[in-house]
Amino acid sequence: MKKNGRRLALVVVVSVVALILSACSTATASSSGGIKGQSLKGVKFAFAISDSAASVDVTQANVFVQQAKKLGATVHVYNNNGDAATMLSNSALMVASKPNVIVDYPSVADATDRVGQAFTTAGIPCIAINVPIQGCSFFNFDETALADLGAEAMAKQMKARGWNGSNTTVIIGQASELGESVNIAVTSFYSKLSEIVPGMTKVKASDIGPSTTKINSQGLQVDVGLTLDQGYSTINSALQTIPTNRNVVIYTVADDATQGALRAVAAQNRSSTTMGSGYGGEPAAFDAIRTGNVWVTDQIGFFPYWGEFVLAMAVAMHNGVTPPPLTAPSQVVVDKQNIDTYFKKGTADVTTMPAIPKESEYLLKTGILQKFGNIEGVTN
Amino acid sequence: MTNQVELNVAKAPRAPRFTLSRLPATAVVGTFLVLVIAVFSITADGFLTVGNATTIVSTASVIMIAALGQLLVVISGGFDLSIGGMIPLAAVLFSSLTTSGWPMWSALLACLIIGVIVGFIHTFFIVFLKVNPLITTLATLSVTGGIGFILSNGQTLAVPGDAGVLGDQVIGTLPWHVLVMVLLVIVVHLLLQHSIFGRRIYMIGGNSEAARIAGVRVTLIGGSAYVLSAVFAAFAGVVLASQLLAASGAVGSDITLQSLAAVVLGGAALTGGRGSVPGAVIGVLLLGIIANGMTILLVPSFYQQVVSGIVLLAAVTFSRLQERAKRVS
Repeated sequence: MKKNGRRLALVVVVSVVALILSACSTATASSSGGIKGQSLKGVKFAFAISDSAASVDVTQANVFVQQAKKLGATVHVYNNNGDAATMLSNSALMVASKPNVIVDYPSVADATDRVGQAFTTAGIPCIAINVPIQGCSFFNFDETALADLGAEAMAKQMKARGWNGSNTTVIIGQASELGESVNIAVTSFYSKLSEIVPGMTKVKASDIGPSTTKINSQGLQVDVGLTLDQGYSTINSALQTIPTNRNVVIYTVADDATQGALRAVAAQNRSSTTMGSGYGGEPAAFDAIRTGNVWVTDQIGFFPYWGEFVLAMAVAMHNGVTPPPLTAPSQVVVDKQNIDTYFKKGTADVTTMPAIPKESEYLLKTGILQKFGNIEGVTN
Repeated sequence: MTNQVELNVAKAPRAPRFTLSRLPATAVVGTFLVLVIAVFSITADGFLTVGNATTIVSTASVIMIAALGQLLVVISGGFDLSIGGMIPLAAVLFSSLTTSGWPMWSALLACLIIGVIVGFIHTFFIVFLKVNPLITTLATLSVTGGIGFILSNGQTLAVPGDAGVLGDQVIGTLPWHVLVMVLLVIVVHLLLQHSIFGRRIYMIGGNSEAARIAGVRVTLIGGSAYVLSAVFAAFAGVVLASQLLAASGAVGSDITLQSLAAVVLGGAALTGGRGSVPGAVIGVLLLGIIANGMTILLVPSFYQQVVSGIVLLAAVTFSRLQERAKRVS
């Protein structure tokens, strides 16, 4: 009995030492993260698309798959099909295929806890795109940072027209179905704008809740959703509450919603006293920014190009790097002045993306982003 | 004893007694509409203005057009869920065709033809093969919605300015499509109330077997309701694209439930044989006014959903009570 107890203690000590050593080796790997010999031969990735009906999601996956295959990796692609049940069954299939890294793009948040459990239990490193998954590293826009840039750009436009807190009402349009992780963009936008526009009463983002509608006497929060028609009908009604002698600034989290909102503005003949800002980099937004004076800025996180950032992140994780809480892509706010710096003149085709945020600079060490050669200052 | 009492009662002069069943189907919901308008007029600054009235009518116009088709199908004893797929499909098709240089009227005609084809598909499955309308129109909702996404490739398409005539303003801020909608409302009302076709739709909705025995061509009349519904939905899609000067696979996809809610609010019975154009108009306006008024009052959107649901439930409950009262009397 005594002998057994000693053996057990020895096993426990050896296990603890092994665990500590493995943790140390992971920590050491964090400092490297480059591709050994620029090859991913023998590496296997599993990639679940949010919904293959959305072409932009497919583009994202294609960028990832093509480059990974070129480097010798195997990629199994799954389609979460926009629903939680499919996402859950895909997670089981992905775990069973035993990849080195799993990339999962949930279309809804409903199944993320269960999916996270499956990945964590299997001990496979995983990346969650856009919607957090418990236990996975997270890749997404830095919503707050992008919204702050958006507010700064809008404040510049307001200053040029002589608009301030005394003559302007700011409408922020949330998309209630997307929850706090996305709608923090609208509250952050308002908060930052209130800090820098003269005459606006300062408001903290945390003071604007999902049910807040009136923000002192200078702002409104409405639910414009993500679609053209909801943006149109909501703003059509909301404009009734704003006297026609006040200027209006509209900010939403989707270009479609902004497009619908600005149609409502035009229908009420208030375009000359309105400025709008969108989110997403849709061709319609670019046309409007280049040719008109109502849609003045657009927040862009280069969504279709996320595949290259995510591949770099997957490779870094495969090499033992522990990513920061949020890895973000290049982000920019475009206006009439800078739009042709990042996009080919007259089109929505990217020529160069701005430098990646500081917290994402570890991606550069993998050498993946250099292969695409489309980020400012990053060359092969 | 009982006979004597009845005799005495019969002798007494009868006072007109209020019963639920005596009320016209649209009277209560109409009264409620007036009440809602009165409340918002008092509480919501800027509600009772010409500008806001125009806003309400122009926002409700697309739903009204779709609801007219839904009404025909509901009266005939079915319902059409595919409206939510037909609208984006027509909007995207209209946008694609006009962008590629088709004249606006030709693009409109092409969309209406697609509506006719979808209507014929419904007729074939629902009226000929007797497949449940819920399943059939759910399937075509998926198919038409999917084709809309395929055509648009998941993108938002622009509609050229000169093709968006229906969305252009004609009187003040009132757009053309509102005038067209009013015309359609009058035409469908006349069709239902003053034509043989209209009476037969009511007949087959009330009892299709009895209508068949009475010589009504159930297949033709029932099928026509589905064809008209799909055509109205296609037209609603074109109007929506003209109004927004843009279209996508997701645009207007939630109009199915709004149109169904509006016709039921207006007194139509989901069992068929009952419903009217004035009722549907009141239903659409009631939903539109509640949404508009609550937005002006800055009621959070979550509460708006709750209120809209309660109003619908109240209207359907009342309709059910009225039906029961009619049966008893």
